Amino acid sequence: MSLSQLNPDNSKPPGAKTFHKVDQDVLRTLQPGALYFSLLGVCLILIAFGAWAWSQQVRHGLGVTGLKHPVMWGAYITTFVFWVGIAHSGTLISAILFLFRARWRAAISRASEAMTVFAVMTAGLFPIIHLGRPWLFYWLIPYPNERTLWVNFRSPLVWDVFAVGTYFTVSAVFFYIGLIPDLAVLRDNATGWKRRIFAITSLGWSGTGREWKHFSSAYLFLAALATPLVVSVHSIVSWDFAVAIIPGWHSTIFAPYFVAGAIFSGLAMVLSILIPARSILKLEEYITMWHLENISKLIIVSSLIVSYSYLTEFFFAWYSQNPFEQTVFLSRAVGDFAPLFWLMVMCNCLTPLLLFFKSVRCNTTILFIVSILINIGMWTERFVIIAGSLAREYSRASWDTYNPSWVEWSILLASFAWFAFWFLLFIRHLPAIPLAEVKESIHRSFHDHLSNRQEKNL
Amino acid sequence: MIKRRDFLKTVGVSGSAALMDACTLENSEKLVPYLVAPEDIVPGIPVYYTTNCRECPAGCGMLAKTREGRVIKVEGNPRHPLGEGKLCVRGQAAVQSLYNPDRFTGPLLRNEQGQLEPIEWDQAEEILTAHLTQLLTNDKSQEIAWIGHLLTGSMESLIRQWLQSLGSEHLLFYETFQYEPLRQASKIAFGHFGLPQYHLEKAEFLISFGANFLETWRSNVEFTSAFHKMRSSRDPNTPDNFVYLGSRLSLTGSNADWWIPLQPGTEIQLALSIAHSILEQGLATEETSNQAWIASLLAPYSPESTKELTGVETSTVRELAQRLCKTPPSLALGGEINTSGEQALSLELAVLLLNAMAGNVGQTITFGTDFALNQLASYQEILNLVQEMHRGKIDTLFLHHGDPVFTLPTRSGFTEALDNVPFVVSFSSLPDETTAHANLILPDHHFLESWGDYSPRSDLISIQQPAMQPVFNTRSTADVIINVSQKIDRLAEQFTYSDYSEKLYSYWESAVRKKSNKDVPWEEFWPGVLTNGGSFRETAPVEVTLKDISNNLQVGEETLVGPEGGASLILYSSPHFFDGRNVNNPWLHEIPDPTTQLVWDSWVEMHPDTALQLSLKEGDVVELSSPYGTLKSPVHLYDGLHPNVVAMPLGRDKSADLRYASGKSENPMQLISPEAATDSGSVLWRSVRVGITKTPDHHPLVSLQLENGEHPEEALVSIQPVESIAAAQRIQPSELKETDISQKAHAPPDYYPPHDHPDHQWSMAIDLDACTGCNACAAACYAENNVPVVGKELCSHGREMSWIRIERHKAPLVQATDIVPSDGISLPVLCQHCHNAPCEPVCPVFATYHNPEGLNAQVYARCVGTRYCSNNCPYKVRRFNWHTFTVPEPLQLQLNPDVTTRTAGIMEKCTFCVQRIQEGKNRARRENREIHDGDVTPACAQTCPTEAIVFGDINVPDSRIALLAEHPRGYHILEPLNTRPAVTYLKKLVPEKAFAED
Amino acid sequence: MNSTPYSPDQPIAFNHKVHVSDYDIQCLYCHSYADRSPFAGVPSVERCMGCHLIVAAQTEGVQALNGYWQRKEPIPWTKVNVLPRFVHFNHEAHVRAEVECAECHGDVQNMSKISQTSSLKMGWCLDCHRKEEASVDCLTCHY
Repeated sequence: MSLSQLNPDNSKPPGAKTFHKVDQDVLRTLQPGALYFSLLGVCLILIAFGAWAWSQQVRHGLGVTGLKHPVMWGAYITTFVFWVGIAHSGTLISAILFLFRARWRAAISRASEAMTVFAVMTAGLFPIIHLGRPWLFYWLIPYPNERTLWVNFRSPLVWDVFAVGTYFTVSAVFFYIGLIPDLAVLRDNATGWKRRIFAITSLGWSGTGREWKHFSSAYLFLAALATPLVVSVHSIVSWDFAVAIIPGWHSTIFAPYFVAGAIFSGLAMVLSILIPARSILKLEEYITMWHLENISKLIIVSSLIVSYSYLTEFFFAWYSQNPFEQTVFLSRAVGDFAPLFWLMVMCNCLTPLLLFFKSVRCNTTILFIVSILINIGMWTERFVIIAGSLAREYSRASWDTYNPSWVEWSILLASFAWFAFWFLLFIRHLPAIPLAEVKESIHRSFHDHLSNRQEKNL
Repeated sequence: MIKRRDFLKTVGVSGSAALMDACTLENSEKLVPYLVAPEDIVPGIPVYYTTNCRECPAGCGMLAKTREGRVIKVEGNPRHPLGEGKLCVRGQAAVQSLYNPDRFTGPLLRNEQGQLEPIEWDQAEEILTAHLTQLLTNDKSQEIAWIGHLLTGSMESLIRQWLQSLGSEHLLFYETFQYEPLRQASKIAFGHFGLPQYHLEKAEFLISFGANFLETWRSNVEFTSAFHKMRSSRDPNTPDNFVYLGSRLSLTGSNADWWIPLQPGTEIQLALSIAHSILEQGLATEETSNQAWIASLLAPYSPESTKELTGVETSTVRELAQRLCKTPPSLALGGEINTSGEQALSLELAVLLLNAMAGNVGQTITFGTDFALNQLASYQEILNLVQEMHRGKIDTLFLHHGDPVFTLPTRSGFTEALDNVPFVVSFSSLPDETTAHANLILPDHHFLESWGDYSPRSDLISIQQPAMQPVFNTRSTADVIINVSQKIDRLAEQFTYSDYSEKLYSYWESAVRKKSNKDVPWEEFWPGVLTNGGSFRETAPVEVTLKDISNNLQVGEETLVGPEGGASLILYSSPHFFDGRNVNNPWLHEIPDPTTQLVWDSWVEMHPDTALQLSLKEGDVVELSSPYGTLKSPVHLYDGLHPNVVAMPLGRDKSADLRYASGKSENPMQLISPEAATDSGSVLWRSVRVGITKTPDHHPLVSLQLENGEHPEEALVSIQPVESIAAAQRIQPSELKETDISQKAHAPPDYYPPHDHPDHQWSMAIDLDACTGCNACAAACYAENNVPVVGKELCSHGREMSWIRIERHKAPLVQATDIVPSDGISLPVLCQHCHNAPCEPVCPVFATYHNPEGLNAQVYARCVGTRYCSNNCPYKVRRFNWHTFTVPEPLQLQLNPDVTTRTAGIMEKCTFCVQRIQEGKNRARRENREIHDGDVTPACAQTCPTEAIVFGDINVPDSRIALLAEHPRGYHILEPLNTRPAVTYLKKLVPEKAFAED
Repeated sequence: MNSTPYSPDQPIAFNHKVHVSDYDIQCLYCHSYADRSPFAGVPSVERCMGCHLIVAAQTEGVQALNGYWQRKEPIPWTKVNVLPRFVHFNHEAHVRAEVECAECHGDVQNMSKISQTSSLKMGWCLDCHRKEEASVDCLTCHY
């Protein structure tokens, strides 16, 4: 089915407003309160603590983590995959839905684009954090040198460098292009040095038809460019595992399996952010239940795909009759990692089924809880796949278990703080809702009575 | 010669100090030349000194490898008949007792407050001189006593001469394991006091009554290689030619084909019933078959009548009898501390009788070679001296090595007696339980630092050369004695040697050269001795005839004192720590104990069923109580035990102030009887039943192989396929005929071009049928490759660094029947240097890659530490540096300068000893020739007593490795993964049918 | 590498120029292990004194040298050509391959004060190894 049909009449606008009201409502969000600064402070403290934890790791070696022979990858790589996953729904909403002309995305596209950029910025840290000798991270980048040493292009870790690098560049540019008209609005409403900055960043946007023409074609072009990345990046990330010979990793379904998971977790993250944001920033009129509901519907779809992948994995293990494969999956279901495994099943397969009920979809509180559970579930999923498989590899004599240490936990926490930190800066300084697009949708709006009925239905 | 070494010391130390700091700033590096360049030393080129190992009384030949004047490794001396170039795990770790950080750094005197305070050597010798002179003037010199470890040759003659001239009769050579029963038994049975000489290599069939000859019994390296010769020459159709009888399945036992788990104390009944069965089936030799006394002696011990007590089926006994006699010669070995109760002597007699009846005497058992061990004082003699000490008849006691306070039964009263001696002088070089009671401590050199000689057998005497300058301010005991004597008028004229080496020369001139090869002039003889490591000759065995032993044979229910229903306690000597003398060598703690796979600490072993009844779990601390004492120790569950038995290793832990001994588990000698056996005068090693009470404490024991039932899913997943693909493989003779797995036959099609190896293709073969799991290879690897020790804590977190691990694979033992397949396989796992190595493609920076010589290279300098290679290695042989590991001074002097010391964040693994490969290639080029087979031998292969590990260049046609790679028993671990390892394993040969079934 | 070559002050101002050029002493006479060991070796104080008991006994440097000899101390020279710990360089192999000392150590015979003339960096090693078709396998030097 086409995503644009998620809502029977996608041209329906979110309530009637004047262009000026939109500007006022949205720009109001840029006035910070006490809550805002306290949140910012908490983030900075958590980031600082994480940084200190990492400094301990650099100083004393990876021995301060819970990693061990044979579980050489754990919380760090899990968190890396988690954040890359988060990044995806951003592009999905802003680019793919854009191409599918699902205009309901307009109000939330800005937030999701921002989320993409910040999530990739967070994810990008972890491959470096987890290195044994992080100060040599640049050896993973091919650069000419007198020793004529080169990177190994057969290694998925090198593919990662390029995949994540590309993804960050494209999504950052995409984000910025989309911002230009709104920066102009900010410029017009700002004074003093701020005005000057916005003047520069808005590239002298004056809103002429020619500019709009170029803008929309550039935006369309970048959307088209970003779309394949949604698939490619997480496929490559999944190959970090699929390419290895480790039972539980070495599987052909990993690419689609991980992409679905990524979108799943990403959408959940969108909800976890938008639900509080819209009430705090008083944007209920712009980010309506209608948006949240559409996202919920997407979540159901991706959740079903993910659940199906879980089943397929177990089917493979049974059908292949490969004793190593079977050992790994049995240990997931009933072994040391069983509690996590069943937590993951509960969060990722069962909870989302609630969203089949409209009453649930329309209850922000429940929706918020569900979205949080899904985020937890998806982190756990990656953890079970990564650590759980390594702990039960071919060499029985080396089997062991793994528990992350305080260092890994605090760095995980810091990564959320880091992400939140950027997001807070974003909503403080830039319009969280794309003025231009919303106005565009208003421009399109007609049939007020239809929209009124729509309001009643909610 | 000695003088010159003074200069070496400065170089050695400065050189190694530099070696420690990982990356040094340019200007911080110093270049310290020799003051006077020693003629026989070239920096960067190793110099080898022949010497002999004194880690235990076996005295194997040893080569000390020195670089820039410091010993960096020890290896067996290939020219020496004892060991023939091989060392055991303890011998390999000898360098750690040399550089041990806890050694005494100089002489110490106990002051009024009872504290030891450092003094100067001159002062120390003054004190000793003064004391002795006073004794002599008061004419109390007969109150001098000497208890020391086994001495022979020049040192023995020096000490005897000294004590004689002082006028003392008390010279006791004391070792923890003294073999009194066996020495007595041969006297009674064959009129020849002392240990018989065994020839395992000639035996077609072997029974061991608890003798752990692959571990610590008498001369383990010698016996291990002999055992291998015996096994490798066995008929492949009846591969089961070794049966182990005993209450505990030791490492030796797990190398047997069959294990008969015996109720302690019934060994002798079984031995006699086998003898009875031999007679009954008319299999005995003529001399024995028509001896009336034998018939009457054996009459009561028909298999039917003993079955009640021993629980061994008559069919099994008959089969044993037949195997012993049908294919002569066979061999029955008797008795170790785990079988030594009040009937120890009788058991030895019974075993000798078995051998006589099977016609082994003169074949696999010979007399005529005199063993140094025969000189040991019996425990009874020690007790007599203890009485003297108690009665205040001993004024001065010299303690020369050994730790009697720890190794004698605690209740023997030795400790109290020691405090009753006014002046106790210890020459021990390491703090231990005994030095805690010494008044004056005059630390002796380590044997690698001092001259000496040792003659374990009358047919060979080995030289002990000082391989380096002393590490600490120690002084050779011999020199101390000479110096002191020269200051005492009555002795001065007898001790005119400038130092001990002079005494040594004169002894070798008079006692060795003149006796053995007098026609060779000294000028030729002495260099020969130094190059060969000693003087060796043949001795002709003497004819012996069996005497009537019936009067000396006491057979009955073994009386054990202790609570009714308690478990009977057996002690065994730890394969790594012998009697605890090297308890402070960290390698021996970090390398898992062969039978339990536990590292560090000590424990008490208990059968799982017994533990279940007492609701005890692994690591629960129990209190063992016997009538003589109680102790606390953590429990280890071990199914290789008779259910009515608890077993404790000796010497894994000490309470002395040693950094590598935890002091968590107390000395089991507290529990056993202080009495000596009435007939043999031996320690009653097996004399008590112990009550077991659970304590609230829990002391987790760390095992490096978490395989045994710790994972709930094991119940669900069938392990068998995993086992058989992944690890140790067995093969039966019938399969052997048609099996042929040459790599080509099995290799699936490859879609990538193979690596080509134009010059060399280094490969290894490991014969699981030969490997006894003795751990010598692991210790050698630690020594050669600067592998760090991480300690118990990090071991428990899976951070151990060993490059070669010995996996233990055995099916759970079912003790329902009287004889069970012991079925143990030791699987040495090291980097397989795969042709299609999974670790290589995943490394983003080419830190690991396949090199043109077939090595899986690991470039430390390039590694960034993604650890992906380790994840992707199915053999899990890669080790990651979780921290930058360092060693306490002066252990760093042992580090091999040819191997880079790794720092935190780097992956490492077995390199096939690439530094030796480079050295070998360089040597070949220097001599302008091709590499020959055997030019390059990694440390592990070098020391393997059974030559289970063979290494070489597979490109060299009909080199040993080229042949083994195509061996019919050959296979690769995880073959289906098509990693195509360079290491070929040879399957273990196992019997097809049950023991006694036809 | 940095413009001014590394040339630290030495405990004795030893002058290679005088010894090599003026008195025509071969490198191997003093650095006598270079052709049979990984290390070229620094002459023992004894070897220096072998000549300097008589030769130039009064000069300042030789006085200093004599001082070490009398005190029975080795001379703590400062190393000029330094390789990192993880590199295993073998002089013997290079001498055997007829690599001139000067190719790495520079024009020592005209140095009155010894200095590092080659970068001794990996790229520099490889240039030569490639030119001479010597092994460029990592394990040749890194183990």
